[in-house]
Amino acid sequence: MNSHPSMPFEVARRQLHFFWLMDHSGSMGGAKIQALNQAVREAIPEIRAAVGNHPEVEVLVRAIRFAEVAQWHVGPDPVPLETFTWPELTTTGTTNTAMALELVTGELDVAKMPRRGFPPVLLLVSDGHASDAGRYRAALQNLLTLPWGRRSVRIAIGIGQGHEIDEVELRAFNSDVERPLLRAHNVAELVEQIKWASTAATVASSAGKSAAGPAAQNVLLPQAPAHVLLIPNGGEVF
Amino acid sequence: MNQKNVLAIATSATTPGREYTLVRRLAGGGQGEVFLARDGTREVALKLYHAHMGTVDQEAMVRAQVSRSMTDTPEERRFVWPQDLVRVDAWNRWGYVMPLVDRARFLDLGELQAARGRVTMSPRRMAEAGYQLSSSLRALHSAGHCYRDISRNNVLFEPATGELRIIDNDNVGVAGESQSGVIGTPEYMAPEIISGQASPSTLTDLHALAVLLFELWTWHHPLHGDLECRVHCWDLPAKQRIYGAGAVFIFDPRDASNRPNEPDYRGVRRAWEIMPETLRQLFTVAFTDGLRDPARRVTEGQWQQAFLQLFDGALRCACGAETLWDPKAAGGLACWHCRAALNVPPRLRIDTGAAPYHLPLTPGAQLFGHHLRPSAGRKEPAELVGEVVRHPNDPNVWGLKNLSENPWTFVRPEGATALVPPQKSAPLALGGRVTIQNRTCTIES
Repeated sequence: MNSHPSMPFEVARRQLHFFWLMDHSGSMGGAKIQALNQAVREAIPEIRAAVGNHPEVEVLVRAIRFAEVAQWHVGPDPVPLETFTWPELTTTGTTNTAMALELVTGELDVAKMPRRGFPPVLLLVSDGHASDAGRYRAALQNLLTLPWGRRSVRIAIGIGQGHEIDEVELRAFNSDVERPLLRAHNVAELVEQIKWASTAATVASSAGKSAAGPAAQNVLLPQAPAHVLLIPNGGEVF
Repeated sequence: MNQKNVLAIATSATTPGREYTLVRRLAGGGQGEVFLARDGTREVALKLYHAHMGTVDQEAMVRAQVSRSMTDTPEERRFVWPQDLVRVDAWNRWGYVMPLVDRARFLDLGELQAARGRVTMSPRRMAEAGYQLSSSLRALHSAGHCYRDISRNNVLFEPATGELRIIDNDNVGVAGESQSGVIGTPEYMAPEIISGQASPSTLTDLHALAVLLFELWTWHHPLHGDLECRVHCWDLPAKQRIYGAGAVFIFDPRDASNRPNEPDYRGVRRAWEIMPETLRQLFTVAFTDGLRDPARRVTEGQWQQAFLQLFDGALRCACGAETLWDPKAAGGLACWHCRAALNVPPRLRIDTGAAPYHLPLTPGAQLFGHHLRPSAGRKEPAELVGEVVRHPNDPNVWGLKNLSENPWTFVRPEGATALVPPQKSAPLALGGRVTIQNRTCTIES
């Protein structure tokens, strides 16, 4: 077998910082938190597969859980996607979404972010209103004043039925202000939406397409496919 | 049939009664999903568009591709074309059937890079891949189409052979037709497309071809240097600056503002050093004059000829590495890997009418019709014209055996002429000349 030495080529990499922002307030108990844990575990191998043929993308993952307060679930040190595992999340207390945003904003400071990276991905999953709406709005505004913050790819997923979620509040989080809020009404929808959103955002940030002419947005995020948005008979309803 | 293995049934929109069974999902993307399906006993790939992506325009495009008549050439066979238009009524989605590509054999550039150390593509195979990509694109353009979305995601390589497959062909359009809302991969978009001043065309395809070839030969983007490195957040507006109005080749001889000085970029600096001079010259034209003036871009034919010459010039060093001899290389040739001096064999310099073709005369080397007429590219079946053979009585004497049907004329270095009938050989004496099919071929060292 005639083998050749490897060519002396190297792939230069940029870092993509991925943040899970997960509501684990009391109302998330039961089927919701189980589905969330399941969803993230299923999403991780799919994200790996999506960037498997993009060695120039180095994905580093962290997670923030928020209930009464916001804390690092995985962090503050980022974990490479290759070795990332999701610790089980349990529920407690109220919904301090504002504090979760404040915690991640701290990490998006230029001094803490890499010199060369891709737009960070922030995935927010919540089943209710922020316990302090004013503080939430202020925290979101502050996040968007940071260069890394306003360039981030942000997707919010609202869990549950009608009035329990503040749709306006969660939609304000999305980096693509035009698109409707992702709503998970049952277990299957939550799983599929978390899988789709985490994969699509990671790929769009690092290996995404664009249209000709000046970019309307800094990242082109595709539309969520219909089979992810609506799954009739999708298991326990939230 | 085992019902458990059937996800859904797809019905043909062109052949009544024809059905395909979807077995499992292979991949998903922004546009749709690809499934493994069965057409009788044959396995095929079946792409289904997401509901909002499958527009009327898209359907017309795919229908046109399904019904176009195809020539059976190597160039055509490398494209994975839609073969049938289908509907899955149960899901209210439509799509098309295409040949299944073995993704264990054929890898995209990213997979090749991720497999570094386990899988290698030798320089000769890289030259083969470059030849196949250029000649396939040339065939497509000659038929009046432009590819529009050439990128590392759509071109697959077989590392052991350099064989190519071109996939995701549902965006191929008719050259000259404007398409609004075209989505492309920014890394490969010509500056005039990024600025919104031009629509995709065969000329914008040439830019994308040059970028992909550069990535194949260096694993680096031709516009990623100091200017790109300075960008902290690499998003679309940043890409539009670096690939559009502010584009500067990293090795532009007249503009050093975008050199790849970053320590992490030592790979491309090394790759450029060991790259054959012919390719360095072509890449320089492509990314200086060719960046902003589409008419000056390197053509498919120029790439094709360059890669053909490099393929034939592969020399194996004792250390195992392959180095490509290049007519434009000055001085002696050294192995890129161990730097040992390489013995360059004598060559047959063929005066083709345009630039001469140089065929290295190694034992067993074969002279084909496409060496005498390189601009036309390889033909199928290949026309074998001659072969380097040993003298039956003297192992130190080599000759070029006439495998064609017509005699050649041989002129010795001293001036005496002789006829070389079919099955006889012309001795390989330095300075001697053979006239083959009206081409003068000189033996040089």
